[in-house]
Amino acid sequence: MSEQKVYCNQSPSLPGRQRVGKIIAEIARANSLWVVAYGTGCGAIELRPLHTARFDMERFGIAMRPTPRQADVIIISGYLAVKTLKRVIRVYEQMQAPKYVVALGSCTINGGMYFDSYNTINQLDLYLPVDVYVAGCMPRPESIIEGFTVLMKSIKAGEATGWQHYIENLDYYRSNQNEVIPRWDMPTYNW
Amino acid sequence: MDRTFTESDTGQADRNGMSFGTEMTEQKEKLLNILNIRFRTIRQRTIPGNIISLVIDQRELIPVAYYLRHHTGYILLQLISCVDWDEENVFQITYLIWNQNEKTQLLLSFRMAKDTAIVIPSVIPIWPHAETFERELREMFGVQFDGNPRQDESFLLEDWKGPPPMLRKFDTRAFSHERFGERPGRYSEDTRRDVGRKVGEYDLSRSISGE
Repeated sequence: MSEQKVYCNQSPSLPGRQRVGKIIAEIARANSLWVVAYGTGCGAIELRPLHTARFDMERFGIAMRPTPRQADVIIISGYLAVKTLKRVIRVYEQMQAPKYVVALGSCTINGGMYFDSYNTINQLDLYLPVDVYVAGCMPRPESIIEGFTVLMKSIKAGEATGWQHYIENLDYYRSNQNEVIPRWDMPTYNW
Repeated sequence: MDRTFTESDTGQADRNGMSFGTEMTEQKEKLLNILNIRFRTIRQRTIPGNIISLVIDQRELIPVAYYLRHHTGYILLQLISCVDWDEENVFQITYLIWNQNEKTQLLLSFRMAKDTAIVIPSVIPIWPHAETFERELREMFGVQFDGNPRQDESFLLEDWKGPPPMLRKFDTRAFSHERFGERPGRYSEDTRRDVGRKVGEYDLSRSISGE
């Protein structure tokens, strides 16, 4: 009973269409992308130089946040084991909309060098709505900045609607997630 | 024994403040003599460097391990490994034991048939931290350990169903294809074609003659 009070028990719904100030809001969102500090694979190593003075991602308004409740972007940095996928789904669903997914490396695209591993997924977009893929193994910090630039442009153009797609097609994503996660010992809806 | 191995290992030992040369082999022979007298089934294999390798019978694992732990310098269990000899239907279990005083390692290994439901005695009474190693082998190879209370808990994989993934019979690519799918267009012959062309274009005789 106590769990039902803590977690939402209802299927998510899309918010109403925002009419006033939508353009301004999207420009503001694009220029203050906050990333949840959660490294899932070897690509998290390439995120560290982005904090430093050489690449300095804060000049784009990109900052790391310690909790998913404050973050807009989750970076799937490289290979994703099934065990990690479960945590990633939980983190992603706890983030507040609008939220975006950036996938780094060839592992998220087609499995990369782990294409025949028994424990890593091969296509990330079966389980999460990916807004930007950054190819490479691993992508250099410059490529990650380029990927964020693409994400900013698509947010300003109103095209980064992966989170809406996720809510609309939740059954599709859930069935894919349940195929690889044998025991779903989480709340049905994590928001 | 490979000479280069011996020299490099001696140099490493010198850096650690110990010198191994003839002294090392004397200690090794003394230890092996004692073990041969006490335990009948021991065979020695030669490994270059400061490593002693013992092949024992599975039934003598606990006595030999107990003797090494309490009566010689080999006190620290570093890891337990398993090799799947699929053609012979045999598991080879190896215990890697470290001697801090002499800076030497000892490989204690035995082979066991896969078909019979042989249970390996756990070495937890001798090395308590062996619990983790044994859980890993239980999950990855399906080897059973008698006396390990936590061996059936999942270690790295959550809720794994199916054969143990490290067995050589387990087709990991087919499993991955079936479970996780495969994005079309992944495979191409570009690399093979390009490399073949470059190798064909490269004239080896020119570079040898130096022209």
